[in-house]
Amino acid sequence: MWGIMGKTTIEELRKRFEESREIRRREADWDFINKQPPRIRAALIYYIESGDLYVASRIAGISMEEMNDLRVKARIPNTN
Amino acid sequence: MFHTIYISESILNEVKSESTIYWIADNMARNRMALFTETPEIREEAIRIMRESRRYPIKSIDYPEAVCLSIGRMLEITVLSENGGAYASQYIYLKGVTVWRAFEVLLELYRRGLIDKSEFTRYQAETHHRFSRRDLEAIGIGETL
Repeated sequence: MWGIMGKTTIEELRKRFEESREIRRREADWDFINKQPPRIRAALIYYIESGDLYVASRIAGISMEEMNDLRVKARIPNTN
Repeated sequence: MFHTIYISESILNEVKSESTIYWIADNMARNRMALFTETPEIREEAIRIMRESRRYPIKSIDYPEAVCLSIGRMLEITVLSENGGAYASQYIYLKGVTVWRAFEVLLELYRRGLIDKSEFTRYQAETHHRFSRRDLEAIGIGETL
């Protein structure tokens, strides 16, 4: 493993997670998201908050690959 | 860089698009990829990892990633995952497991001279993925992207 993280503490990982969530919230296409049917909208919002594609796909009732396509359409960056 | 890429059944089941299925099938036919059938032991270990992940105040892990981590741990092979919980796990409670995201894969290719810096930008554009500025700067290429 390359040593790309200066710190690998829980606090550092939480900080990275918060930064990623802010980017997803900021860059998402909320007009697109708000026009979606309830399950899809809920799944996209869940993804923005958690970054978890698998659970989001289960909320939407679609495969992970289809959920990823939806993520791109909603302009939500994958960040981690 | 990797001799064989194993893909677990639970991950394979998530692939739907024709182009991706053909790509995987073609690589399996060429022995570059292989199907990993989940044994009861793998599933048991995956569930244990999922429960362990809930003990920490960081992103928890769900079944597909837990299966990959379980396989990675048992076979001592690198796990390829974009899941933030899987990535964090190697630093907190799965210290014997190595997890690479797309960033580490590209980084290894770059260090071997197989790609140039522009591939980081291209990957981000094609996948709508965002590498952290911190990661890019840590390897001295952040300011050039």
